[in-house]
Amino acid sequence: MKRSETSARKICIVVMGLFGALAAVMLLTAICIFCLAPAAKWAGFCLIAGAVVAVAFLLFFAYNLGKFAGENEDAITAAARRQKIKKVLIYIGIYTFLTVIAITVLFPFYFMLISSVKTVDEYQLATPTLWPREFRWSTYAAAFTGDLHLGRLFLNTVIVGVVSTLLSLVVTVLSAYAFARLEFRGKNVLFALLLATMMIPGELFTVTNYITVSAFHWLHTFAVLIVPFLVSVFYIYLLRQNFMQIPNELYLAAKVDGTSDLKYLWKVMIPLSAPTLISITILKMMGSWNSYMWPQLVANDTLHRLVTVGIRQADFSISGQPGMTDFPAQMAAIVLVTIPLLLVFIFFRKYIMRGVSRSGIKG
Amino acid sequence: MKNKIGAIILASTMLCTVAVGFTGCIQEGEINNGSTVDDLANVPLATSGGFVMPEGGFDITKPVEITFYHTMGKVLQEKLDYQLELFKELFPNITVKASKYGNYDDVHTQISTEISASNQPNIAYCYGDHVADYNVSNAVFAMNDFLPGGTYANETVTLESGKVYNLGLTEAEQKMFIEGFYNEGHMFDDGKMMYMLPFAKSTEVMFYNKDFFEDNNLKVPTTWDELWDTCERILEIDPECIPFGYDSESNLFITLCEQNDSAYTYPTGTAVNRFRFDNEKNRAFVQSLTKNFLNGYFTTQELNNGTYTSNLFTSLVEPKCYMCVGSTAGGQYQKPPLVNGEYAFEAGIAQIPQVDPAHPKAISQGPSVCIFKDKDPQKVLASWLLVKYLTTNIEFQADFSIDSGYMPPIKMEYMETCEAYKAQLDEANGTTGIAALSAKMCLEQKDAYFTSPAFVGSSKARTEVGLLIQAAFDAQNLEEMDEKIDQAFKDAVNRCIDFIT
Repeated sequence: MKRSETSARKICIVVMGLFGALAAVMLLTAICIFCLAPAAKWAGFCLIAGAVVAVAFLLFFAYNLGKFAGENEDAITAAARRQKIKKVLIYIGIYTFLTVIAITVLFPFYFMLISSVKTVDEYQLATPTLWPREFRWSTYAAAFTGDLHLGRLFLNTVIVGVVSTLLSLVVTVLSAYAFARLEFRGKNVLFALLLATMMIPGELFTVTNYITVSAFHWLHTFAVLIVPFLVSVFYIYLLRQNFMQIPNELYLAAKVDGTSDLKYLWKVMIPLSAPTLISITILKMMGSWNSYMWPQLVANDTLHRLVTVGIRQADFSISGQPGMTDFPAQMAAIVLVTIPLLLVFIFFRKYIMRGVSRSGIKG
Repeated sequence: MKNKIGAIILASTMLCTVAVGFTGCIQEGEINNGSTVDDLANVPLATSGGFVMPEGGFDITKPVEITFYHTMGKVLQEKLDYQLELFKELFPNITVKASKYGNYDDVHTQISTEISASNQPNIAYCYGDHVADYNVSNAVFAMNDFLPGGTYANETVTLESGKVYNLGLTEAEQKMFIEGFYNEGHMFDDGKMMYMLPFAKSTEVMFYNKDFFEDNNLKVPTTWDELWDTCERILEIDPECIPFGYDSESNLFITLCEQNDSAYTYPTGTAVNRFRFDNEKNRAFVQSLTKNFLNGYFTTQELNNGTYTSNLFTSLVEPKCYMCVGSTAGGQYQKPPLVNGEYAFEAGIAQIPQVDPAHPKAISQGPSVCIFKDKDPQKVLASWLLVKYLTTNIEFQADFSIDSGYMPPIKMEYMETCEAYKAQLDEANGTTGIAALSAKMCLEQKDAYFTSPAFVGSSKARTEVGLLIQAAFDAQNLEEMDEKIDQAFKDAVNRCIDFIT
């Protein structure tokens, strides 16, 4: 087959892919608009436009497929042609599905972003606008200057996140090492019991945990945000599985050389399990950043309030207009709180994915 | 002998069956004709709530710290702080620690957990169903002892200044409250115990496009029948509009129960006996609503894609609505939009449509305050003193109303003694002064307010009747309407019963 023909086909496939994605985007947007504002006249128009693009895509696809088949009739057999058609169809199906899912997931973020710069009047329109008519950047300034105290909230969250992550890592590493490498009576039973606690939803412990921390007089302190969650059975399990993949011979050789368990753990196990530990660190930090129910219950004062609770508590009412809330300013604050997590995910996603996939468990 | 024993057993069984049958009939009768909300509101209060006064009464020398959970924003907190300073001048030994907790549900969740560790606050914002929940643990203090006629109603406290201060609520103070709001405090169980005092209130009113009504020579409807006629005329004028919007489906159902004097719920008895809303009168009004919905006369919040119908009322493009029932606390959202620096129209405010305009009914909403039991009676007394101070304080109520959009639970003649509040009411208009206009309307209809009884499951009933209306409106045409309504009522009652059993 000539190189130019191959290039032409590649271009055609890329065009088809783009066309397909465009059709999917238009259809999905049209459906979103239809759901948000079924009464709007242009919603119907969008739906029809989306459908037209989708049909055009199918025609274009069928035409090109036929063209490929005609061009290469002498070169490839009918069976191979069918195989190819099937493969292309599967790819188109997969990418269309992924595009639709990606848009579904990203749309709320998009809506949060555009809502954060809308005026209050535009935000309240019965038919929401998909692009701000007028950009109001002052919402971001309001998020810092209002009674939100965003700086203090960030500081509190970082303190809790860093301290709880460090302490949690110590507990997790030592526990995982014990369960993976050391031999002691009842090890398996103990581990099974620990695993069994994963079956109980965390919310069920809320009341008992509250009674405990209340009896310890820990309410409205950083301790109450850190200590109850130092032990994570999931992370112990994750790291134990990782430790168990390291050959036993290394441990035995280290023992012959007279190395202590702690030294072996520090010098061998931890470096070899660094990716998983990084994943645990990131996941733990994200958990601290996102936690809401518990911090709201036990540390809802200015000195210890976390970002999630702070945003909920903040007053976004509009001065001089009783009962009115500046929702765009609230959205701006939410955007600011979301950004650090998004950055963490963007830059460290490979560690997050790797660590979770290694254990063979979904997070 | 055997035959005799057999006959006795048979006779006993028959007697039991007949007795059970009668019991069933009695229960059935109660369900259909049982006490309505008004009956419960009229129950005389017990003279005692079980409080035991410490020797020497309230000790003004002993330092007491009390906690108060609320949901006030920054501006309202400033007003509260100011009043707390004044309160501190009266009672220097009482320190109040006020904390804000998100919204009403957050306060409820917080306190429900805290009660499990006996760590609840002393005073909190509340709704009736919250108090019913707290009282499963018997945690709420009954105020009866300090109300007129109560055991300690005439007790006094001698302040540092030598002035004598009434510990109990005097009859004059009690008369300041709008009756419907005050009665909400004892809509529990047998109605004899008072667990809440009204703090800030709201209700539903009908906002209408005054310019449109005047231009088209339309009369503002006062009854439901007039409303549907008006809707028909509006549709003739503007075929693309939805003439009428009603934000809350639940309020619509509950209010119509009250206006029709038909049963809704009752706070005691078996599960079946508590949820009484499946009856002929209620089915009839749901049928009427569904027919008018199918005619395109109105919409509700859920049917309006979950957004308040005020969005339609203030919309400059179709679909618009020209009448809209919404909460007075959200009156600002009904403010007409500005077009080239001028308001697009002027809004008017009227009472919601009634079944009998001579006996109007409007739902009572908004937070009340309750006091929690404490092993230290001095804390309970300090809490009571603060609750009494804040709820009967005209200046605070006026400030709170102006800045929050809520209405005071105090009658207009008392509120007008506050110059700032009177000035606010005088400035009421259908554009910039819409919040004041709605507050004025609310204060004028002081005899209309009602509340449904509160018990564990009452909030479920409220949710379910809202869903019931939505389910009924699923009917595509009149043919399938009856079937839908029948199913909707059965499902709603069953879900309520499942919830509490």
